[in-house]
Formats: sequence, structure tokens, C-alpha cells
Amino acid sequence: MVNENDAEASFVPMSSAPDKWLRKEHLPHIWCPGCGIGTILRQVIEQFTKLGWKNDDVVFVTGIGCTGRASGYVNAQTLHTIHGRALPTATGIKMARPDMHVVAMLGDGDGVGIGGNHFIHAAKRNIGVTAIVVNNRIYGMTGGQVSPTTPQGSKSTTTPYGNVEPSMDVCKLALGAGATFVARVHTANPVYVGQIIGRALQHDGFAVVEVLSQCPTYFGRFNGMPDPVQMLQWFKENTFMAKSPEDEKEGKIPIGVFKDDKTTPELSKSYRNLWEA
Amino acid sequence: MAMRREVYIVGSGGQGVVLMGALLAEAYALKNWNVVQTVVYDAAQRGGLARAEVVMSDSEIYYPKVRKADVIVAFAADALPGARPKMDEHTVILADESLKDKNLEQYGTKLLFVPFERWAKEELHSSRVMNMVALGRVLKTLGDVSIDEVEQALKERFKGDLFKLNMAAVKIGLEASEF
Amino acid sequence: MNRIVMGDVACAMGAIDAGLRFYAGYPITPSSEIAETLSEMLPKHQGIYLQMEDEIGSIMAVIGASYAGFPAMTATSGPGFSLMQEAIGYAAMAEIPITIVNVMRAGPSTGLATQIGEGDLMQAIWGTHGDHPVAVFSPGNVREFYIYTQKALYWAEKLRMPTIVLADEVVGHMRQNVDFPEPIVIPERTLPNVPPEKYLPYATENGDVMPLPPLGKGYTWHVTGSAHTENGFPTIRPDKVKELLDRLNTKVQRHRNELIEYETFMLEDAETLVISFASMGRVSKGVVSELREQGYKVGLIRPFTMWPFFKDELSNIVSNVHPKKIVVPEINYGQLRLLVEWALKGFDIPVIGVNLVNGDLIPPEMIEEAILHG
Repeated sequence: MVNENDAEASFVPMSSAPDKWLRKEHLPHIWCPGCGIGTILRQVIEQFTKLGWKNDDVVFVTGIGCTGRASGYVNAQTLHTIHGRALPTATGIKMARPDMHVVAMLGDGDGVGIGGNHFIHAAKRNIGVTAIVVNNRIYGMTGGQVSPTTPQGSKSTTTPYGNVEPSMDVCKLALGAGATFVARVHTANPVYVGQIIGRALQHDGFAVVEVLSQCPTYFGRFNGMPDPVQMLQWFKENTFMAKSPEDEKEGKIPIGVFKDDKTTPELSKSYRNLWEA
Repeated sequence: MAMRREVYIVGSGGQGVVLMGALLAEAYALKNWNVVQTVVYDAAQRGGLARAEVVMSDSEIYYPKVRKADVIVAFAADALPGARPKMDEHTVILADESLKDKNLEQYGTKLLFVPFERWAKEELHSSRVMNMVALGRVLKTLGDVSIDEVEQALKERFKGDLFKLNMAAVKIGLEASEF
Repeated sequence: MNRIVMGDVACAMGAIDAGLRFYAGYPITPSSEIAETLSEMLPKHQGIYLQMEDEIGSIMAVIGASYAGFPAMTATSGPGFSLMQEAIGYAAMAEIPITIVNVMRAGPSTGLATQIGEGDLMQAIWGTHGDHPVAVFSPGNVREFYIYTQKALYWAEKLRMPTIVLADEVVGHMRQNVDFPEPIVIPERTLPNVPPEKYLPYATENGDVMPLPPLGKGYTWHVTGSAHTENGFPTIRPDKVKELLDRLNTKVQRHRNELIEYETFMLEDAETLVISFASMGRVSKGVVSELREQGYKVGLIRPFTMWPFFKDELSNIVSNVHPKKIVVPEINYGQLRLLVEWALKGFDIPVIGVNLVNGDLIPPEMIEEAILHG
């Protein structure tokens, strides 16, 4: 396992992945300078390449928001759906075509705010979809409003006095709802992000990878970290490798793989047992 | 002139109102009549009001509900006030004897109390089939369907002992003497 | 074969006979029997039944499955239909075929959960935000519920758009003896006649949008609810946006003659014309039939296609028949009447509504009264 503070491991070598997996004619992308989404997307397509997947083997589904725009840049069968609804759409796709690799990339608002109920039920069903939750802890696309994962006390355009509400823990939610692969990583260590996403993509059931990501434009600017480097540094200093999201260490955020259950049947396959009967 | 029969069945959820209506419709359908059954119930809980309306005609049925009932079967009295517009002096109310104190005379119809539930319990040890006793009694009142036809309808729905029990209940109603 | 079937069950049977492979829904009276029947039938036809967490999840799963090549539908009633509206717009914009069956109950809100209403006509036509294509069919009895479920599935696939079946509680819950016609089968999806690198998912072919390609065949196109060009990618270029929306909004009109269906009854020399849909169409037909027997000059039109509306056809009928008045019975406060008035703008004929929402069918006497003395 890579040490999350290993500086060398953060170096991303040149690769052929962008040529095969990006729709270069649609670049440059719309994300702000310093945004973490590009870092994560790069790791996703690196894993597609590593796994030897074909472009038309992959269905890549997103909702609305900054992360929602990722589907436009990926050279696969892509759907940019409506806000919060990437997971039920992905569920319908996977049920119809279990042979497809179905990947949903969600933001925190998309995934556990407006789409929270779908998130719970996709986990409960153990549908064979990889859910990559890009958690930048703010609503970026609409201009920096509070999100379900904004830490208590943090500022946003709609919490000018600091967020009064506690924040939601994506991984605890996923575990509680029955997801069979659950992990948390952060963008300060892109190689580790790639490794974990690679494992999630190969997981048969519902896999959740929460990626803590920086939004310097809004979250950083409102909370004393306007420089993306400051935010990455904050991730390094305020996280620790753990076995469970319940683990505690000096108020830091646990990261790591929290669950990897390969025995629970995946829904699109188990449903087909009814066809035989 | 087209023949049209209209039967309105009222009771509580769980009393077999809908099933009784369905079998009545099916017996007439076997005679190649057109049939329509509609139901109205409160929330889908046991014990709430249940009402079934069955219309049977040898020509096309447009209005699918009861306009003036030939027969109203009442297992419970609660729904009867609402059914008043569907009654006239030709309507026969066949009410379970347990409703004798419910002032059913107020509706100005022909009125017969029949011990649906008691007969089902005493003779077949199953108050559950009181709806089938009532079905038999309704068929007797209407006089269109033979015992063979209703037997055929029951056979398409029930098998084995369940058929025997239900058919026995229908016979009790069909063969009941006037009193 | 003549058998007694419940309306909701006939809808499910029609869908299966048409080739439905996917249903996702959320239970709601009076549509739940459609879900129950399909949960039993679909696995026997290599199909999928999913009960989702809510109606939004249901319609999105239907969109996903249809995109992935399984003919798909959902069924609901008023409250669930309201929840589905945003996704109906997505299906219209992304041009993914889906069918929504709405078994109407009385509203607004929870209203009368188990009793008839016909107040969702405007919502079915105009419900989602923005101008959009949609076809709305409405059956008035069990046999028609079977037929129009199939037609809705057929046209959804053919025109790549959402189609809606607007039944009501009485049609859904009534049991009736029926003889089903030969099924109308959903067209199969075929490969586009251009290779992947030339494929433009939103270009037209003979005036209609290109067929959707099956997944895994080399076509890596993009689907979005944002305004887009022929290649499927978002655009804000005014000319491209206009081109897209013009095409979407003329889709239905281009096929109106094939889509529009209605029944006429005893129109000749009619002095009063009754126009009515769903269950009330059937009830009105009985009233007209009885009044004709008594010598009254009254005729009936029962539209089965509520959108596109049979505007030109209605105006032609009125020009030929010259009724003195038009009576529109419906279990709402005048939604079909508004469409009739719009269609007959320029005619000087009074349009009289017969409107009653109390949980039951409008009694025939009320319609008679409006015809004879309204």
C-alpha cells in the first residue's frame, strides 16, 4: 500500500490514457484553475486504460454540478442526466446490460444531497455501479452555497455566519446502507486515488469511492485557503489511514478502504436467476 | 329491449365483497353477457368500507356503475345512506340478519333479511364464505343464471376443497326457501 | 378469447405483448396492479421489474434501461406523476423513448386516493418545464387500455420521446369481459446506417431523429439534457439551440395524422355534440345512445389522442355537422373544454362544461340535462 504522505507517489507519469479516453475536441474543460475534479478524472481514465476496457464497454453517467460535466469529456457511452439522478439512471442501464461497466461520477450535492435517497437505495440493492463521489464540500456550479458535507462552522454564500448544521459522512452513509465496497481518498495523493478507484471499478457490486477534493474558488476562498496548494496541504495534514470511518485520531479525517465484501450477490446478476426459474 | 342487471354489494374490507362481485360477473360472462365490475374502497385496510358494483347486460354497457340497483347486498349498513340514489321501489335489499336493528326500512325498498353469516358458520363451519351464500341468494333473486353456469364460474377460480366449500355455500343461497 | 380482465392488468398485458422488457415504479393507488402484474410477468419474458425508492428514481431507471436498449415504462397516479415531470423533460430533450402510464385519481395533493378524477390532462400535455414534444393517449375501457398502452410504447420508440397513457381510476380498476386485438409491437432498435465516427445522435434521417444505437457497438455518443448540437454536446449558440428546439417541437406535428385517433358516434344531423374522454367518454356515449333512441339529435366524439389535439379534424366535423352547441363532460373543472374552445376559436358555438369532482363518475342525468337544457 502506498503511504499517503509519500511525495514520489504523487508524481503522475505521462500516459496514453488521455488520447484514448478524452474527447480532446471538447477541451479545455470548464473547471476552475486548481480544481480537483480533473485530477480525479485523470485517475479514472488511467484505470480504464490499465484494465484494458474498450470505450464502448463503459457507460459513464453523471448528474448536475461541476462534477456532472465530467461525462462530456470522457470518450465512452456518456450520459449527463439531471440533478441527483445519475444513480437510478445507472441502475436502469446496469439492469438492462450487466455486461457494461457502469460508472457514475457524482458531486457531494448530487450524490448525498438531492440524490441522497437514490444513493442509499443503490447501496441497498448492491447494483453493479461504481460511484465516485467527488466531495468538495460545497455547491460550486451555483456559486458556493452550503452542501450536505460542508463542515460545521465553515463558511459559504448561504452560511455567512458559519454552517450551523453538522456535516454528513458519505462513507458512513454508504456503509450503513449496505454498499459492498467503501473507501475514502483525497486529491493530495493522486496515485492512491487511482489505485482505489481501480479496485472499485473491478468490484462486482455497488462500490463507493469518496474523493475529498479541493474547490479553491469557493470553499477555499471562504475558509482561509484560497490557494489550491493550501487545500492539498490541509488534506495531507488533516487525514490519517484508517480501517473504519469511525476511527478517531486528533480530530482528523479517516481515509482508506473501509469495506470490500466480495460475497454479496450483485443485483443485475441475481435478478436474472428469476429468468431461469 | 336490452336486458340490464345491476347489483350493488356493500360491506367491510375482508368480507369478500370484491370476490363476490367478480364471481357474479364471471357467471354472467359465461352466458355471453357483457359485464363490468367496479369497486370503491377507502384506504386499503381490512375493516374499511368496501363497495362493489356489478352491471351485466346482453348489449353494450356504457355507464359502468349501478344507476338503479336491482339488488343491493348489505353485509354492513354504513355504506347504505350513500347508496340511496341508486335505490328505487323495485330494488331488493338482501341484508345480513345482523343488520335488523339498523332501520333499513327507511330506504323504502323491498327488504329481506337473510342469515348469510349464520348459515355459512352453522352449515359449513366457515363464516368466510358468507359472500358465496349471498352470491347464491342474488342469483336466485335475478333468476338468469343456472346452477351449472355458476358452478362453471367457480371452477375457473377455485380448485379442490376450496371449490367444494364455495360451491356448497352458493347452493345454500340458491336453494334457500322464501321465509 | 373472451375473458374478464381488470383495466390495470390489461395495461400490463398490452405492454408485455408489445415487447416491454423493463418496468420501474413506486406503488400508488390506483395504478399498483400494473406493477404487481408486471412483477410477475416480466421475469417470464426476459424482462426486469424494479420497485424503486420513489417516482423520480423510477422514471430515471426507465430512462436508463431504455437508453440501454430495453423497451421501458413506468406507471403512477397524480402525486407520482407530478414527481416525474422534470425527468419527462429530460427524456424529451435527450430523446430517449419512455412511456408513463398515469391512472388518474382525484386531486389536488392526496385528494381522493382511491377514487376517480380526470384532472391531469393539462399536466400530461404541459407538465414539464419548457416547450417539449409529448404524445398523450387516453383509453375509456379495458380493451382500449390494452391498445393505447401498446400505441404509446410504439410511438415512444418510433419518435424517441416520452409518451403518456392517461387512464383513470375507473378504467384502471374496472373488470370487464374483453377480446384483445392483435398486438402492436415496439419497433426493434437497429444499428445506424453510418459508422461510429460519422454518427450524429441528434441529426435527422428522413426528417426524424436518428435511431439510437445499441450499447457496445462502437458508438460512444453523449446524452445530455442541456441544449445541444447534432453531436449531442452542449451548446449555447443561438442558431443551434433554435434548430434543436424547432425540431423537437415540430416532431409531434409532423406525425399528427398518424398519432391522432378518435371515435365519432351518431354525428349525422346532430344539433348537440358531446366531446368527452377517458371514463366519461364511455359514460357520455351511453347518454347519447339513449337520447338518440328517444329521438334527440345528439352525437358524440371520443378522442383517444389528447395530444396532439385533433384541432383540424374537430373544426372540420363542426363545419360539416353544424351543431348548435357542444357539451363537454369531464371529472375536472374544464380542462378538455379549454382545448375544445381553442380548437373552435372562430366558431360561434357555445361550449358547455359538465364538471363534477366528487370521487364518482358524473351521473348520466347531469349530462342529459346539459344536452337537453344547457
